[in-house]
Amino acid sequence: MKNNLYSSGSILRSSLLTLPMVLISLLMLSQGLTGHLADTIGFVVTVAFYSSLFFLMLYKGAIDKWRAIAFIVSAVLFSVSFMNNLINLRGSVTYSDEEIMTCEIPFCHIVTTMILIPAAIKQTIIFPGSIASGFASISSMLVIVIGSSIILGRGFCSWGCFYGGWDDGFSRVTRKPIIKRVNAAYRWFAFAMFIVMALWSAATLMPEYCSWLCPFKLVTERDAIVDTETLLKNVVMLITFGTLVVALPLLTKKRIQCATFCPMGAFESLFNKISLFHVVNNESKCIKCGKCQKSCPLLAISKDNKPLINCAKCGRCVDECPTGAMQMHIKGTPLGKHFTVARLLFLYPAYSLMITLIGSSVANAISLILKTFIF
Amino acid sequence: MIIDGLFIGLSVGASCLASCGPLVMSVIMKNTPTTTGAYAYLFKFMSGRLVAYFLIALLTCLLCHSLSLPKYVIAITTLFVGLMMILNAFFKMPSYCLNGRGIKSFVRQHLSWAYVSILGFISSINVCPPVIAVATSSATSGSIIDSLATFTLFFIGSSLYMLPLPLISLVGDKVALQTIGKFASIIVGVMFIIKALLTF
Ligand code: SF4
Ligand code: SF4
Ligand code: SF4
Repeated sequence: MKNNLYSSGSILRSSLLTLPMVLISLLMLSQGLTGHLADTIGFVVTVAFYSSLFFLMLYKGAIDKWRAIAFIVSAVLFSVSFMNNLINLRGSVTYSDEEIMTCEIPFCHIVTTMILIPAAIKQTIIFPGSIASGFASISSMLVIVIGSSIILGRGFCSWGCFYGGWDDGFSRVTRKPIIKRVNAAYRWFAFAMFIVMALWSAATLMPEYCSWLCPFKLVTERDAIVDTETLLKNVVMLITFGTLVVALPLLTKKRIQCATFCPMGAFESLFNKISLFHVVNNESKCIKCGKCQKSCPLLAISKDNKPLINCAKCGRCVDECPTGAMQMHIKGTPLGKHFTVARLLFLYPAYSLMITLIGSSVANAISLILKTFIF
Repeated sequence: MIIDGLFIGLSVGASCLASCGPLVMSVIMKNTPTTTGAYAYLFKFMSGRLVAYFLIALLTCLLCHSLSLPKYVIAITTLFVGLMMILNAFFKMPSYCLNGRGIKSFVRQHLSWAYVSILGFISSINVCPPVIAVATSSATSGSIIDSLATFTLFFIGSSLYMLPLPLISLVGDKVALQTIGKFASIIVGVMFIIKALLTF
């Protein structure tokens, strides 16, 4: 392991460097406390969960493995909490035309790709959610998603997205890939989806990807089946979830939904051009073993072992590289120097994003599970 | 009033961009030309669109009322656009060869122009609400010249929004651009085919 962090192997240094993250967790998660014992336990367990994983990243000097645990657990518990919230609010995880008309649909970041063109040229927000108030309002989500993307680039897709953990999780179940080769050109399919969906949604003034193709409606909210069209939408959702999120990641060990299909992933990738942090191959150290390319779950490394525009900064290639050639780099700083500091500096905003966006849902889900089974 | 055509075109141009944009973008990216070449593709598409508008202008003027196409015609033209997009994904457009000779060379030289223009023509012949608005305005104008002029102004107004599209060809990685264009053509093609089947 050539990319060890400054703290690797030292309990004291790792603990000290974990302290800011403990404080951030306490600050972000304490808002959900009500005095109920289950909520307090949920809060304590969540802070301990995120803090200990952060400590392990620093202590072990490997990031991806611990990041993935946090990311996957966050995604699953987010769904539990989200669906429970919907049942409390609306009595169901399905939405009807009425809810659409009254703008009661919580905003999801993937819609960003479809609202931009109509917002720019028609001054219309084509999403049936609340602009500024209530649960997951459009403005607050846009500020968080676009703001974090400017700093982290597509890092959002490994650290902030509350869906990504699903295909990340399924891509880790088998020990070896059953389908060994995935044509890397499919990485560009997501960009085609982005362009077509952005324009198509502007033409119909409906977020068409969400209406027809998004697999994650299965783990959040979906159309109530009232006619052939809504039945068809539910069937498509089951097919996309089954193939892109479950089956293909299991078979290939790649995050197929995020690597090849999600328009938001492509949109996020554009931010890699301006973001501060990026993963680079320091060619003077590279022995061209190809391990990085094979291990990248997002098909984001070129044939000549260079990270591409769609890198989501998960850190796996940096962990796997036997010579330390794959490095986190801060734009404007000399290549090959301070790369472990760059990695450490990246971790704080990236991990804070995860806690800010998903942490309270995790605490909420733990509290809900306790209330259901124990209290 | 003839000038109404321009105002309607300017006010609905964004919708035209959203409707025709996926077709134009897919063709441009798939064939990854230079920026000049990309504008050539746009103008080929637009020439087909202009011919379609002229046809609608003539018919509305001759019939003295706005057009409404039968459902099966809309379905067939939509299906045709879908199939043309799928073909675009799998075949490379022949490029111009200025000093070519003979029938084969002539066909090759004009095939890409014809293909993209036909795509523009067929995708525009489906009368959409803005076109109906212009057609209503021109149907009452009485003369064929006025009707053609109204549609020409509508064409100019609505086409302005399309002008930035070829700038996508400035992206440096041509292989990536071509692959994205190919995939976009497939997605758009499948979408049009499904739309056609639902219309039947
Ligand atoms: S690609 Fe889409 S679903 Fe995957 S992590 Fe990114 S935004 Fe989330
Ligand atoms: S894993 Fe490291 S050494 Fe091997 S090809 Fe990739 S960058 Fe080069
Ligand atoms: S290039 Fe490296 S950091 Fe980027 S997504 Fe692939 S494995 Fe993760």
